[in-house]
Amino acid sequence: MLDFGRACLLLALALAGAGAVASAYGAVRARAHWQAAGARALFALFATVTLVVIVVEAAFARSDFSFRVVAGHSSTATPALYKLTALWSSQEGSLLLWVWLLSGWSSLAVASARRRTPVLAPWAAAALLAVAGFFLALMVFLANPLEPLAPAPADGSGLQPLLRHPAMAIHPPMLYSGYTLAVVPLAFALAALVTKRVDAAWVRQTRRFALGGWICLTIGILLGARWSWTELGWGGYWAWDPVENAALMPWLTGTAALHSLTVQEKRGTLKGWNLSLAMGTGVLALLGTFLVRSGVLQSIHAFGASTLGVPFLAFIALVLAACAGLMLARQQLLRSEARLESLLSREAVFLLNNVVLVGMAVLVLWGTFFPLISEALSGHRATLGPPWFARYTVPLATVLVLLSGLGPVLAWRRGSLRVGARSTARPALAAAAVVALALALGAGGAPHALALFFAAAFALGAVAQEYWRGARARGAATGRRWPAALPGLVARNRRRYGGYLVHAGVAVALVGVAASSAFQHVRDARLHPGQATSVDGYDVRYVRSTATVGREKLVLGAVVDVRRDGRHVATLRPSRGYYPVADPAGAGTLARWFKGESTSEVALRSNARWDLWAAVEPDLQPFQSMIDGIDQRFPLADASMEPLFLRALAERYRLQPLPASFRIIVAPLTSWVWTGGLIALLGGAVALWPSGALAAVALRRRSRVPVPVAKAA
Amino acid sequence: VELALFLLVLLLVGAWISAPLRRPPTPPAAPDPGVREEAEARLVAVRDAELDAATGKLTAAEHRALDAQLRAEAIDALRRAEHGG
Repeated sequence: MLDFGRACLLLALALAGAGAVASAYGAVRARAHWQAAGARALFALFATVTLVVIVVEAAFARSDFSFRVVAGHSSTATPALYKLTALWSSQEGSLLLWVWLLSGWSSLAVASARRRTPVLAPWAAAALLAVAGFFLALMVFLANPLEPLAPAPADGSGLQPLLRHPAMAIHPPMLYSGYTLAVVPLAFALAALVTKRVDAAWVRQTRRFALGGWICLTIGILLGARWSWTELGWGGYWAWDPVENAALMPWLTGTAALHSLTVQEKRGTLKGWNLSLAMGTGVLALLGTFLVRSGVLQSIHAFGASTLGVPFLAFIALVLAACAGLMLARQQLLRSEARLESLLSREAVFLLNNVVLVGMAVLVLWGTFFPLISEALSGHRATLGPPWFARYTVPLATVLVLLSGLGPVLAWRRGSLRVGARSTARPALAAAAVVALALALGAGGAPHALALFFAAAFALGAVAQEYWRGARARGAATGRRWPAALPGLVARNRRRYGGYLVHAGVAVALVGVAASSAFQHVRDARLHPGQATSVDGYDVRYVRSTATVGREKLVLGAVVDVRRDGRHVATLRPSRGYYPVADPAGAGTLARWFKGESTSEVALRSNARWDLWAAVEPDLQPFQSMIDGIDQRFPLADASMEPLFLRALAERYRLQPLPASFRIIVAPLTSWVWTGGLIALLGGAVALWPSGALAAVALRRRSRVPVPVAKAA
Repeated sequence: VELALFLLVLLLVGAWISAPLRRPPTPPAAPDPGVREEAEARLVAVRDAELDAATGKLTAAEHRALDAQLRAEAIDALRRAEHGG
């Protein structure tokens, strides 16, 4: 099916080009049939790329190593689930996934826009097809997922060991969904500028895609952080790594956009700002893909450096130039119809939150690209580490959380100091109480964390107060008690109360970040079996070593007993997995198991108060003579003898009391990061879910309303 | 087989995309849906203000003034929607 897939890929490229031209021509000349043909090309593009995905996935499933991408990223020993997800561990497969997701979301957006915003639909389709065309061209000319390999090897290289983790099966599709969904508002913003329809129509058309993208990016970021915490073995979940930052930047501007788009919908203000934010978020999404795929910056997450950098940068520059040119050409139209009526209004807080979020995004952008900037200016590549990022982002994040509590208690348009003071009194009291409690628990040495606790408690108090007040008001209107009125309140105001849940989730997550960073205790120790160390009052004893031989890897580990005041707390089993290199002839039958990749299998015990985290690095030095001896004595050993040697090695590791290096971490409130993330996602889902009114509108539209035609711009 | 399959895909895609070009539809004079959505948004703003007042974010006087302003905007938007923008 290789040739069929290649032909479909070429057809997809042709469809992208022809569809973009047909859509643009139809829009310029107001020809409905050309606009319809352009839209159909987009839908057909999605179908064709789906065929290509099926062809490549089928090749992975049946381990068809005549596909170069399969031979390079899978093997017969790769578990079935990871064979399917191996597609996006490769450069070529990632690009394919990107185009597939983009064409899917674009089809949804354009199908909806043809009825709701017919003036914008053809231009948006042209822009989306052009972006898809760029990625298809990359695949056809530079990184083809359907490249043949002849002769096909008997087995493949296997999947990168670090990627054999459940989170990694979902993380890339989520991030790429977030990136590709962010391109939809970018396309409609360009369409709005071209057609001079800069009112709220494009906002209403794309708001749900922006929110969907935000949800996907949030899931992707959380899964990436969780993977880092449980798999990478360095003892953290966020390292301000370029690839992490690549996802964070569009998340920040996307969050800002979700707030300011609401202001434009309700007030007609911030037109130019919203267009800039939508375009900026789309460009940052492209930049994020560039950072992940180009290898231009060193990253712990970069699994494939490539030569795609130059075309990527050229394309991003082209998109930026188009955005800037259109903004300049239409600046007369971007004046707001309404002004800010009160500094104590919700839109004023939204504006402030936008300033903070965009400020954070600019900061992260500067820090991420600083190595390239410093190299260009001084010839010396300097990097900015986590302390630099924390110095600026922690105060900004604290202000942001405080604003996320202030916004909900203020009204749209109007506000007075008296009402504002009354609405903030209870949340402020709750925040003060939390700070007093934290001080009593000995948190006085970390003022930044204390400030964040205050802000988060204020936000949580404000959200709780809003739910209670709203439910009480709804109860009074419907004659129900407030708990019974709560579901109806949320159902009638999904965006508002879903948004409040997001605020609560972010506050909870940031409390987890602050506590687990400021009050974390780390101990690195080299222990023999039977020896113990202590960390934050916990006694950690290395009980015994463990070793198992699997089909794919050799696992050497330890059993660790954790006690506090003599009482058993947990038994942890950290280990390290060793994956062999593919070529035994070059490395030695036994030595090849220690010359390939190795991964840390973190042992984790988690509850609402703390995470107990342990990783182990076995000391292999004493084994070196045994490994070399066996490889020298049996230079012609075949594959059938390998398990025998490995079992002997494992047995010796279990019985011989060798030292091992441990990293033990006690991190308070780490689980709050994930819990907060889940609350925020729940809030996002509530806000995204169609309300009764929207469902009724959708029902009306399901009756065959003829598609209106876009007039010439 | 692969060639035949691809030709079938090509044929289907070509026929489907070119269908509107072969039979151009007559454009109906439908009102701009954006105007109707604008009116709906104004009505939602009236409801939002009611909720803000009910939850103590607006005094009665502030709500009265804002409500009058929002209703005037909503009526204006509804009129425009009725007249097709």
